[in-house]
Amino acid sequence: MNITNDDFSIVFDEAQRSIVFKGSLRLLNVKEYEPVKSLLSAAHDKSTGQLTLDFRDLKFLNSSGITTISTFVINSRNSNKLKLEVLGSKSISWQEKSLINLNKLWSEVNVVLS
Amino acid sequence: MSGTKEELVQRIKQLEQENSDLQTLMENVNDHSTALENDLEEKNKEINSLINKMKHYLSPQLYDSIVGGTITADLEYHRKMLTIFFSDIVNFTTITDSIEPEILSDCLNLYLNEMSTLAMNYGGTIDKFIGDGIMIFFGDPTTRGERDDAMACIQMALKMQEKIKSIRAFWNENGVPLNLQVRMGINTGYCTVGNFGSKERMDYTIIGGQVNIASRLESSANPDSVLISESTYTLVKNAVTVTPMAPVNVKGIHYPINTFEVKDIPTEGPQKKKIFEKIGDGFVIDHIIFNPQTTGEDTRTKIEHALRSALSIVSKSGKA
Repeated sequence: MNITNDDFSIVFDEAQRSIVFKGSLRLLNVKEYEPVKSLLSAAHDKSTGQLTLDFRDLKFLNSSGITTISTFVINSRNSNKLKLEVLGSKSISWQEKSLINLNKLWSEVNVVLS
Repeated sequence: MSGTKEELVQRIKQLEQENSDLQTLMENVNDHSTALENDLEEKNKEINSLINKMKHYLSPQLYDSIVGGTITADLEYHRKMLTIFFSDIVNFTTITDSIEPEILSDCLNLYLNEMSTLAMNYGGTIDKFIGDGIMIFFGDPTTRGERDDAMACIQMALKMQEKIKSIRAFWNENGVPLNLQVRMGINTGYCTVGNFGSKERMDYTIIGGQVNIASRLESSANPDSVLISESTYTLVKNAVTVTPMAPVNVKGIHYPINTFEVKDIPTEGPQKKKIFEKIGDGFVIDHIIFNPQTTGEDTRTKIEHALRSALSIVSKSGKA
């Protein structure tokens, strides 16, 4: 249930209940993000209590990518099955703004920037 | 429409939530795009700043070719007809021993700066500075044709010799006992031009026997003179006045190279000495003799221009 290629990797650790994003995620459009959307959805289904999205090593995420992540946050809020924790890095400029903005979609998302 | 009032109210609330989500989502995506654009702009600024710094280490032609993408950073090379120029200060080693290093550094940088400006004005590619020596070539990355490249190189060399006289006078006047004399050698021939070195550190330069000939001509030239090979002379003989000199032997070349000392370029008219010559932040001004009854209009204009330029520099230096 992982996605790995030369540009990026998305790895779901079921035991840790975390999804780790690395590299540079710049797929062509929202449709191209379908496999990512499926991975997020499957990880959500398999997890209980809390799911962590770790973006600390994701250098770049394009607009279609943030749309996919935001939609996942909305769906998680609507199902209200588990809590979401989002880890980001202050040294990557887009993360500081965009990850905090996820709270506007669901105030209970725990965004931690380090 | 069907459904109870409660169901409709519920549906409206649901639609309002979706609408609100969509609006927030759009704002978030906009914020994200803006953050990326700003980041991109910052990165562009950094790149431009680095490119500007890099500019000072490259000749303008080479810089334009690299930034414009016509030259790649690969270890590639090709053969091309070039005119190669070498210059060297006479007895520079003796000079370095007799002058304070700080003064010498200032003098050398001023000299190299003035020579570089002339090289760029005439379209030469500055290959490298070798201590006080300068290596320039004409014909790559851009060429105006073999003859025009050779001609531009000779014009540049004569202009440099003219400038050197002014620099010499300037230094002597400023208490620097530096008898600046420069030898120059020019040769034309096929060279291998391109990137040489390793993938990590490469130089865009020229190599080949013709380069060695130009270097040898420079070391054989008289002080304050420009020595050219027969292959260069053949290209420009209708435009340049020369004095035939003794042939020189070059290591690795199995025949003597006929040489010629350049005197002037008659079509450009006699090399009139300039009244005013800017040197670095200062200037040298020649003896001015002005007689309202006998000085012609042309000379009067030159004197006026020289005095205005001189006054402007003196005035600026006083305010600094």
